[in-house]
Amino acid sequence: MLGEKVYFRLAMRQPDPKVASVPLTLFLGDKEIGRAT
Amino acid sequence: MTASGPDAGRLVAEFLPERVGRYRAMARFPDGTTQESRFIVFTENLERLKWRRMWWLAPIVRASGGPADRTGGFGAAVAGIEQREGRRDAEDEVVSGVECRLGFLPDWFSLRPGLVLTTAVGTMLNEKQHILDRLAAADRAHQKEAGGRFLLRSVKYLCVCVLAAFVLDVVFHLRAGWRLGLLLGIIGGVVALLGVAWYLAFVRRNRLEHIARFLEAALPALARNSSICSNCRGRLPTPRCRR
Repeated sequence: MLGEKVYFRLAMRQPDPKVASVPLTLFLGDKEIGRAT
Repeated sequence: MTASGPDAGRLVAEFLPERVGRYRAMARFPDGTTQESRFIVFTENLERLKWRRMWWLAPIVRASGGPADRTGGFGAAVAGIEQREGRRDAEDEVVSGVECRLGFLPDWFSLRPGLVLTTAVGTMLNEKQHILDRLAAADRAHQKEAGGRFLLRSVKYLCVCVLAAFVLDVVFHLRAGWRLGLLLGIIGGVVALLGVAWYLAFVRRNRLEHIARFLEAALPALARNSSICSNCRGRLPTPRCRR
C-alpha cells in the first residue's frame, strides 16, 4: 500500500563476514529509481 | 542491503515507495549473480463491493467496506486469493544460494510473507485478514438486522399482551394492585425484549464461515467462487520450505 515501507531482508545460508552489504537496485517499471540501503 | 545487528548472515534494506506502480528490486551478489523480486504498490482497496444490484444487502456491504464498483466484486477478490494460493508451491521453489523465505522469487510478484514486507503492506499480504475483518463487520451488520427483526416481530406479541390486559380488566374489573402488576409485567416484558434485541445486535457473533455462506448464498458471484469459507478456515498461508 502506498505510504508503507517495504523491507527487504536477505539471509545467507553460509554467512560470510566479508559480505557486509549487497547493492539493491529498485526499478519502477523499467526505470531505475534508486538504490536501497 | 547492509548487515543487521550482530548477525552477519542477515542483510536488511528498506524502501518507502512514493508512487504506485510495478516495482522491481534487484540484488547483486558478490559472486556476480543477481536475484530479483517484484512487487506492486497501490492505493486502491480491491476488496470493496458494489451494492448497485443488491440494495437489500446495502447495510452489510457498506459495513464490509463498500461501495466501490468492480466487476466480480468480492468474488473476484477471493478468486485472486485462490489463484495466488495455487501458485504458492511454484513460488516457494528454493533459489540457489538464497535461503527459503527470502522473498526473491524467480519471476513473479512477491506476494508471500517471504518478501518480509510489513504487515501493513496492503491487501497483497493482508488480503485474507481484510476479508476476515470485513466478514466480521458484515456479521455485525447482519446481527443488527437480526436484532431489529426480532424486535419488530415481538411487537405483535406485545400488542396481544396489552389487549389481553385490557380484556381482563374489562371482564374481571381488576383492582388497582392487579392493574399495576399487569402494567409492570408488560413493562418488564418490553425491557426483556429490548435486552434480547440488544444482545442479538451488539453481542452475539456468528462464525465467520456462517456469514460467509450467507453472503455466498445471497451473491451468485460469491457462490461461484465458493472459497470464502475455505479462506476463513485457512487463515494466512504458512510459507513452506523445500530443500
